[in-house]
Amino acid sequence: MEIDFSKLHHNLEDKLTSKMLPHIWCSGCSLGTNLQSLVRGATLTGLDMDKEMVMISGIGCTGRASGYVEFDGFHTTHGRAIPFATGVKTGNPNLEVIVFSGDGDLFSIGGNHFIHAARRKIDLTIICTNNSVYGLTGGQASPTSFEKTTTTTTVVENLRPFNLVDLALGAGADFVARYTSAHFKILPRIIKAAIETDGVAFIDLISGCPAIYGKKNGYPTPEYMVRNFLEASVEIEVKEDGSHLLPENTVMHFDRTKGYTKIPVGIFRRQDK
Amino acid sequence: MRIKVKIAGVGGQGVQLIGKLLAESAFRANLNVAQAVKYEPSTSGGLTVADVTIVPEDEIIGYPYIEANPSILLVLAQRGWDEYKHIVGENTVILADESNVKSLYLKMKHKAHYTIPFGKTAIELGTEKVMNVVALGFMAELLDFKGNYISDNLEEMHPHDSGDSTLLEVAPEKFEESIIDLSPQKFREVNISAFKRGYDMSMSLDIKDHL
Amino acid sequence: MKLQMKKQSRILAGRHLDSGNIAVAEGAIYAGLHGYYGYPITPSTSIMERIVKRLPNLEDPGYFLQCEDEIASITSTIGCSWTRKKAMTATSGPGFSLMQEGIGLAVMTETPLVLVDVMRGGPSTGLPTFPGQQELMQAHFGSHGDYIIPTFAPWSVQECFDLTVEAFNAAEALRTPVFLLSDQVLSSLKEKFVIPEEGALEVVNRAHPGETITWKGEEISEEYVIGMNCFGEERKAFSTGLSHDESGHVDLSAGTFSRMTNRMFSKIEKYQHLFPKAVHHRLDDAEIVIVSFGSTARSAYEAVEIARESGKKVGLFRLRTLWPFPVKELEEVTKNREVIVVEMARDQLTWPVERAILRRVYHIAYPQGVIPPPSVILGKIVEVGE
Repeated sequence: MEIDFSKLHHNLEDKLTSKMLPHIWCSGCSLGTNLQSLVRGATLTGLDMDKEMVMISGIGCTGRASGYVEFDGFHTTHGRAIPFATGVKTGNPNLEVIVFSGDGDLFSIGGNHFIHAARRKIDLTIICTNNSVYGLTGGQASPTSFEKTTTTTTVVENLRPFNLVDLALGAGADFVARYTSAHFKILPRIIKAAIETDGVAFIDLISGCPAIYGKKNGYPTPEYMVRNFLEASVEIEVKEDGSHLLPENTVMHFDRTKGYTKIPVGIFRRQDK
Repeated sequence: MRIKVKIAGVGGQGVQLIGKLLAESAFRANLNVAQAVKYEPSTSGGLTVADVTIVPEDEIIGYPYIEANPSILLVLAQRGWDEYKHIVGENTVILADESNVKSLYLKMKHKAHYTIPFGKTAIELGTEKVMNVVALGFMAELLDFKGNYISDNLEEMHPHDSGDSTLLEVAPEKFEESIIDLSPQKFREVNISAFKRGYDMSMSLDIKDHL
Repeated sequence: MKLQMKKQSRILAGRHLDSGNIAVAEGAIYAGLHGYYGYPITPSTSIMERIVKRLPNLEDPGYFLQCEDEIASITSTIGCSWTRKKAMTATSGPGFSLMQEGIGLAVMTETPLVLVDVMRGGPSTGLPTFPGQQELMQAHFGSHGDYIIPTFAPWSVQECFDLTVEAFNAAEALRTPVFLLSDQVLSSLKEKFVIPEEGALEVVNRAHPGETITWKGEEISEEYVIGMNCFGEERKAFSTGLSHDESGHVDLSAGTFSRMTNRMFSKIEKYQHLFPKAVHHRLDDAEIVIVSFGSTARSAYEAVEIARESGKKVGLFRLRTLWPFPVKELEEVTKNREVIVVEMARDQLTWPVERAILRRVYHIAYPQGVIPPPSVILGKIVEVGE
């Protein structure tokens, strides 16, 4: 079948930086859907993408995203997206600043910066593509790689991963949510709510890397991954006594032979500073 | 005295694997080897090249990339030929896959050329994935001298220090050892069959048909 | 070589076909590496990935940690060394920059360690998968303050192994950090190399307080290198990045500062003849001398061979110790001869060369992420010859 490319249009075309496309991500990568969810969410806020929003990213597969969309943006050095974002926001408090990066960039080298940002509560939205691996550099473990997992640097054993929801809650973030990239129907609303929070908003966006991580850890194909995300997700029930926020209730479970087995999803905390 | 082999194809064709197998086999034949790789940034579909230089055990290999007059230029994709046809020299043996390399501009001086159904043979053996190993088998026969023209080629190319060109011989057994050791279990058998087919194809060809 | 995940021996003696990075890892292990603290960065990552498979599984197991960043990596490496263990880290340009403050701490506290920088195109994120030689000056001047750190550069996979062992020996003998500058080409190039039997290569361990050790048959005097008092041993072990005296305690007086820092420079100067020597190739009757190091020198070597075949009198002076720079040796070798400096940088190697011989040289600058091919070097040889 011959395809006339000049007649094809993407539904978000005016918000994409077409000269930077096609992107570098593998087919099956969650980043494609995540980026679209972000753009939709940002659009829902009614803010002007050109004049009122800035997107900062770090190093990694996720980091490439800022090059593909029409937000004002910046692609920083590894782990330093949050301090850069802090400089932007304190320089011009009228801007909405969004940090869009990966679990390695934000929580390994950038971890120190995250907790300080959460502590200071300077208005930021931080969206973490959490795929539990360093994809761009070939598959090393990340701070969210699970205890029994196969990566190129966990040949012997792995230490306990972060539970990013628990970490964000503990560090004092004002808005904390977790969903998976398969929840692309809900995500735009969640992202809108995150952006509209006055304070530090954090979204643990569970994503997949079927090409590198999934292949060796139970979800070898994108099709399987999407089903796995949806089947493992469990919407939290908000309890009066706050027990839904206990670490044992927010933690994810994973089996290296079949992928995720439990992903508690929802909005865990929502307050303004 | 040296043998320079350049293998060019696109991502997914297994160029690096046969570069590695070739280097490993020469190494096991107690030769000195350098194996250099070059990738284009994109992953699938991007040009990949393996340069393997083989010299006697005690010689030094300086510059590891092959930029002119390779002993063997193997191209598994049209892009490989388009990119590297300019380095063909009068001593170069050109090997091209029949189905993937449709247009070979051959007006330049070269030693010999073969367009071989590496891909078709691989499909016959059960999977197109082993096209690269079939090609490896074909090259192996050329490096297993016993009076074939690569050895004459070497003497022509290195008149000062050729001595005994069979010093650079890599016997097929070394290739088979490497394939067995370096292939994942499930591909071992088909790789060995692919190798043998490629080897036999080379042996059965009459030079004069292709010069 | 296939590795089993059980008790492995440190020394995998024999002939191997593998990449420069693997050779660096094996060299460190041969030299007695115990602690590795690193962060993934192309093209050094395979050093780390090799070490994680080896270090914890040795009969005398070591410790491996992937740190949260390069700053943590260099700092943890220093800490490990203070428990009298051999420690190292490997990185590339951006990581090397991050580590500079930690490097200053290592020099000031006279901590033995090895830091491998697998050079790639810079500056900033630059060209991650292409080679460069642009950290030459940074290796000497990257951190603030006055200091000199021994810096070695291999040109082959075999030298990646050999010079890593040498780097550990220099670090232990002289109580100093040591740099090994490899590059992206060497990191992935696969070549034959040989690991010798245990004991075939000298392995040096640092002196205890009051002890004098030897290296290459020469005594390392206490006047230059103070025996290291490490944590958990008899007396209080202490040091600081602040100016301090022989006991490691703070002393900001001019007299103490001068005494201590003069000694730190002298120890390197005094024993630099024990560092890897430069290689002279066809220099006896040369009229043109090419000065180069690392994988660039491989191309220069090829160019020299081709030029000689057509009767041109050209030779190669291949540096293996970059700092301290071999000033006298270069002076002698280049007397009354033309000099061509070849490097994968805009203008770095020319600085120490011109300063050493006090005149201008010819220059091939190739910072674009590719080794200058032999044809380019030949072109310059012809041009200079005219």
